[in-house]
Amino acid sequence: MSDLLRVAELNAAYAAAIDTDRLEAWPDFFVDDCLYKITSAENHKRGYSAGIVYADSRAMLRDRVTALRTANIYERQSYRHIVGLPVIGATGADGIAAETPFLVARIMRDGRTDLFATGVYLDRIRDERGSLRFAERLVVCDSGHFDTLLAIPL
Amino acid sequence: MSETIAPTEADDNSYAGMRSVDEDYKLEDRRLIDVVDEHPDRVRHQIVTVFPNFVLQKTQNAMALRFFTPKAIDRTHLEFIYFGYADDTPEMRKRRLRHLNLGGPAGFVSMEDGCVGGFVERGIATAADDSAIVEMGGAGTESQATRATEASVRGFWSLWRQMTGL
Repeated sequence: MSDLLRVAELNAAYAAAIDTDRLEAWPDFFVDDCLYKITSAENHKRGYSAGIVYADSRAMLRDRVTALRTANIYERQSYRHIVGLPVIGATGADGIAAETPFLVARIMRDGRTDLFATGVYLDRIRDERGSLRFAERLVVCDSGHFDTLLAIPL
Repeated sequence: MSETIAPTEADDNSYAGMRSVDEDYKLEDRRLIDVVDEHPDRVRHQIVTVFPNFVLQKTQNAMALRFFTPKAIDRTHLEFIYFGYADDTPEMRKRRLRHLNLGGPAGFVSMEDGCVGGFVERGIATAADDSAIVEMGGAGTESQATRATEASVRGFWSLWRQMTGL
């Protein structure tokens, strides 16, 4: 299978896990020493390292899921990810480079649906014994404005 | 000013019996709460309102300037500028970045604040002709032994009104 198809399949599975509330499966899309960050296009362009979410291990991603399930209180909601086709870049020592545009709608418990976020995933993807996993997933949102609440991962 | 001093083991019982206390809850990656006492004052969390729309924040080792811009009756923009020191070690820089996870829209600590604010705003809108007031910790500005008080908020606005003559 081509890298394009393999990455597209990975992205589809990733989005489906989040949108169907299988958050416990979300950390498994990453390698152990991953970097997952949500930031804005402007901050990314300026080289700022801060993120709305910044996790530099898979254990931190699992901690976030545990917190969402058992500690944090927030309104019931779900996402619908529409993920575009990836642009595959060079394959280096830390895996395949890919850029994939996304659009996320958020559906609140009262039925309200909003266009919640658009942007691009900037990824480094590693092949671990035949399975592709994110070594790095930078979620670069087009807008620098975020809603008061960003509970579920993008 | 609201601040939390890092407790010592001997005096750390301030949250005993609260609903949110769960002794079995453990982080897998404890670097989220790996704090260095960099200004040696044991302050773990401090939010200082300097001006009504300007706040200084320190949460563990994450430091931020926050600016509020009211945009409409139901809309406010809140801008965060996170910063560190030019001579931070790479480890310290990473530590600050990890501590950012506690604040902001996806913050483990602040997530509820945004949610509750939304509930209250929607609730208020349904009772436009009524009014209610909650005096948390009374109506005065004196220091109190409990943290369940808004004495510091009242103190800020009292001084603000004196200084501006409003």
